[in-house]
Amino acid sequence: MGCQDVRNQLSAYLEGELGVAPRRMVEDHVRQCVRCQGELVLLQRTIALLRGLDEVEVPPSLSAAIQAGIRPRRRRWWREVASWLFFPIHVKLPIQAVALLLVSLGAVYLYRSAPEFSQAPQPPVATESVPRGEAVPSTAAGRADRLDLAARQEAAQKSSGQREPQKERKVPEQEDAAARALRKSAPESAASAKPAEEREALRERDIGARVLRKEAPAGATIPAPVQDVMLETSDPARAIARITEIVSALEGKVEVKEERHLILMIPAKAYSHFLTALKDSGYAVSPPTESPPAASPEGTVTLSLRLTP
Amino acid sequence: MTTRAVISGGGDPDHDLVDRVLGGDRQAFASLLARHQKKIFNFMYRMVGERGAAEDLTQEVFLKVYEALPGFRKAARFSTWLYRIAHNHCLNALKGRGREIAVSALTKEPANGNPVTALADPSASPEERLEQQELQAVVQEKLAELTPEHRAVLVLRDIQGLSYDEIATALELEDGTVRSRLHRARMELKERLRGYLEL
Repeated sequence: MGCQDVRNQLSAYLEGELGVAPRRMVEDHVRQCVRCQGELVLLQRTIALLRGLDEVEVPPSLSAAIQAGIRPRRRRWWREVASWLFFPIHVKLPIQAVALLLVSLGAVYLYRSAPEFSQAPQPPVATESVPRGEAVPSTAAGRADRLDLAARQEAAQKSSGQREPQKERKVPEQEDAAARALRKSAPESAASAKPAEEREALRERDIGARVLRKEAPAGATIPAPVQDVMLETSDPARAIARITEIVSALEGKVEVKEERHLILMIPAKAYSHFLTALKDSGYAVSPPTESPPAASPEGTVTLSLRLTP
Repeated sequence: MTTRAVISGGGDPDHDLVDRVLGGDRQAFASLLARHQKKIFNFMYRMVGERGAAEDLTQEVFLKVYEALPGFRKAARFSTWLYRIAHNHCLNALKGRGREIAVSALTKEPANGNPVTALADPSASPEERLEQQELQAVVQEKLAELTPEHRAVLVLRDIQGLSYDEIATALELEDGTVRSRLHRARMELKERLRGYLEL
């Protein structure tokens, strides 16, 4: 081992990092080489001087100066939210991914299994949501729009062979004068192109839909409405006979529930005739009702008639 | 495997203080400061040779540490991470501000105000104490003549007593690089001190 090789090992030798053989070689060389021995001593003194430098005392003002310089640690709100949502990221991110997948699969399953989700959207007249008691738009323009929309939907359903749901069919007795006037003034391209009976059905459905929207929220199953009315008479038997006669003539039905309680099922179209015939017979129902009550999907008005003395 | 992977911060009592600081506990930061400011100030002093500059740099380092604390991942000891920031900040300051050491200023300080000579051996005679003062001032002066890279490794190993692993992590070097750089720095300082060391 030459002098330079030994001098390259002196630092490691003084640190005690050399193995047995290199250490012995360095010691043997230094014992015989005065110059390398002197270098070893100088290196030892250099390291001793460095290690003998004591620590410098910290200025008393330093700590206070540092603490005065720091600002209160405020975590930004988005960092708080992000930390809460995502950290530790190796835990929360996989959980969120799995949760998202499960929710997506559940939504697809629900969509495929529930018929109400998989069916085509209902026509506006059946799905439009109008809270009970809220006024239905009755402006001329609104009705004209609905007529036009209903005409287009009817045509589409006919062309696809679909049957319109029964509950949407409503055949009121009274003609809506405003609707009739609007139908005449509606764009020829929409209304006049239809056969007369088709337009009539559309008009009736429009009127019926407006009545239904007043009576029930959208999407609810519409029960057969029953209207309670009273009729004053001193001779119930005679009154029942006359009422039965009138209703039968109008192709309706009478069901006697009790001695003074009748259930009348009258075609909606014939409702005004029913009232006229009653009046001609000297009877009057209360409360007086000129407009037809809500009809069932089959177009029948049901009255719960109680005879009072 | 690098030496940085060998160093583990597990069981470091400073980690709890770091968590508390991150939670807004300023007293915990005061505790961290009390535990480490002396080491960092001495590192800076040996690197730049001026107390005022060392004080400024120490203050800047701790403010930087406070801001960077959310990024501390606890893979290493807090003290090692602190030394890394201090070393980088010091090198940048030396390069950017032209703060190469003017060690002569040290020798002009009064004896009772010189932090180095004030800690000389009290059992020594006045003549010996004066000799020690002069020799320590020479060491600091010759230290300042080394490159900052050589100075840093000497300060961390021979003055502050860090292990090779800690130095490798703090200076972001391989373990072998630390050993070879330390040897060259010692040999260079030895040559510069030769006239004072030979009896």
